[in-house]
Amino acid sequence: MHTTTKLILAYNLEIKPSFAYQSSHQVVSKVLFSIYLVRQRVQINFQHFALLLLIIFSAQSCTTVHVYQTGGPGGREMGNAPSTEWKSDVSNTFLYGAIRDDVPIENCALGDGTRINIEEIKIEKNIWRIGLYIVTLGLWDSSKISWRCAKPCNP
Amino acid sequence: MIRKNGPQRWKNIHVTIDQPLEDLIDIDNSNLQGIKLDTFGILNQTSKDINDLIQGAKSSKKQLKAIGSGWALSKIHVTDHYLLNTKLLNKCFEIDDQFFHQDFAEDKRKYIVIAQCGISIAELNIYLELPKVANQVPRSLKTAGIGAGQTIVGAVSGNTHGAAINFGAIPDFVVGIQLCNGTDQPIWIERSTYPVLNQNFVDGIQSKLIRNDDDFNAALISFGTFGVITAFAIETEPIYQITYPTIFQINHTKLSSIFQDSNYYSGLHHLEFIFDPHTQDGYHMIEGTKVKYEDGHPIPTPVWIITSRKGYAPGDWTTKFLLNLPFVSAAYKSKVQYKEYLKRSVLSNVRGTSGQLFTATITYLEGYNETAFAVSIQDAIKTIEIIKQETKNAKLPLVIQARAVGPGNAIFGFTNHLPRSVVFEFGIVYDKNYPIFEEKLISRLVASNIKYTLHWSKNALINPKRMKEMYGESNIQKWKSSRYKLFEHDMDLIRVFDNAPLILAGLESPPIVV
Repeated sequence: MHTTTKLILAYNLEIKPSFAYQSSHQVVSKVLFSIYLVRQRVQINFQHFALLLLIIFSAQSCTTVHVYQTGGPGGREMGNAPSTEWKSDVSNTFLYGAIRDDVPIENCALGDGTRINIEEIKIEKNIWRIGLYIVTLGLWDSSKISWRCAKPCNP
Repeated sequence: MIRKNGPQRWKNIHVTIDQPLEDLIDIDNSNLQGIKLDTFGILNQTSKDINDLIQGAKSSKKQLKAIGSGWALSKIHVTDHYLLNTKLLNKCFEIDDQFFHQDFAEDKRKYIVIAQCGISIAELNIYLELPKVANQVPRSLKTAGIGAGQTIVGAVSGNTHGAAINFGAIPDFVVGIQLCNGTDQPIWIERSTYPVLNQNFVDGIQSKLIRNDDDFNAALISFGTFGVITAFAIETEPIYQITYPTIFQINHTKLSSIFQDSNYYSGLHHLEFIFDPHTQDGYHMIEGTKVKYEDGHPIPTPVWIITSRKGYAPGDWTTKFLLNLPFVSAAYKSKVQYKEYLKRSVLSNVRGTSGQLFTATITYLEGYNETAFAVSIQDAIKTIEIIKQETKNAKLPLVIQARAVGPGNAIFGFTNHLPRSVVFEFGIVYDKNYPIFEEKLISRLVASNIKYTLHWSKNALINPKRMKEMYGESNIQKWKSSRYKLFEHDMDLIRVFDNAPLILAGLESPPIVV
């Protein structure tokens, strides 16, 4: 096997399982290095590389805001104790809010339909969404909204 | 009721796991008829629903795991087939006198409660410490870890430990286990040496009774491999407070003498110390003493919170980024971390109940891992020297937290070292250096003949050789025998509760019949 191909394989094998928890500068350097190595071996045009880069970066979240309740009775902190796992939706707002895209939450309910509260909300923007906002001068504002439901009351 | 959410990606709370799932299943205490069920009704509805799910997984040859709060950092409780979200099963019940075993002391009966699997430690603390029924006495958990977000079954099954030097870890206050494993009926397991509830109770929850010390001690710390634990009977005690004086610093010689002197710690409830492995000497001691509950003391401010009063906190990737900064030494990064830890994560000059003191639920650092292992208190000094050497060699920025725990009875209890265990824990960036460092530490402990055990919920590197080093062959066989016995040797059912870490540890195979 060609040395460069070996390098690509070794690097990508190493990168794959750990990709999600690399710090940003490590991820960026590894991605760029991998792309450089791939370009040595495979004939892919610039547009395809740009697309590849976009896909990779769009998977990384750039800004995250957590919204959650805090406090509890008599100093017994209950913050961040959800009853469900994360569920997400993408919200796109156009024309500076003239057209909004709400996120109705339907899963914060028991099996019989009894509603429970929302415990935590997370708002994320990745580089793709920030770029879109800049390019469209704020006309298109896109965010990923995630939520987890609260626990049912325990009488 | 059951709600299936379908295929999706799933992340644990600390985002050390990010994987696809075939189905995420929610289960709760509601029913379509809208009928308010009593204790037995709720427990029976849950066990039937779960047994049906297990049977379904068996016939479609899928694995099923209850995830609790998703608090564990290792993949011990995870499969990529079906994950069962039990957090909506968060009830707690009192038990009538008529359901207690005749040998169970009458004065202890009001301290036993039945906790459903999904109740969190925080919810349990509130239920026990702030009773809503007039004639009910306020009670406390006998011990707690620093986190209060885990479900009770998750905390027990993964051996959450706390620092109760003269008691034990969280599993050690469990006195009854209801297990659904897909066999014809759920199982209620108690120790034969400590019967608590009687046949009427077991009939009420439509279960079969097994009173056997080995089976109980095996099922207690079984990380979801014996089936789905739907409820525990737990033993609590009259409400108490823990008082912590201002933390103080001691040197290596003093620390060494404390470890050799059981009189020093015989009166303590909580013993913990922290140190910066890049410094030559100096340990901060955190010591708590159990005292009678008194009203009127100021409510402790929650610790282990990284968010400022105005809401500012490091972003999801900031800590990882800062700890990986080039051109800044690991020693300096450790120093800064240590200073922050002292400021935000230490119980000092404070008095409160367990529910007020151990409250780490609010924020978490995504992608930030923790690893932990235990050694005997007699080997603690030698272990500290190894940790310091290896941390410096690896140039890692770390703060080491060490907590002393009394021994328990669970077969795979990682805190069972005699006379006490010291659990060393350290937060570490979850990158490729983490397994390398962990591997290096373990090999140094083995080379120095230090008997060690790894934390089930925090360490992934458990293989058959390590299992043997940690627990010995006879305990491994005892645990496997109980597992196979409780599944009535139904191989298809057993496979439902296998997963990758179990297979890696060599624990999925049948026991050796002698």
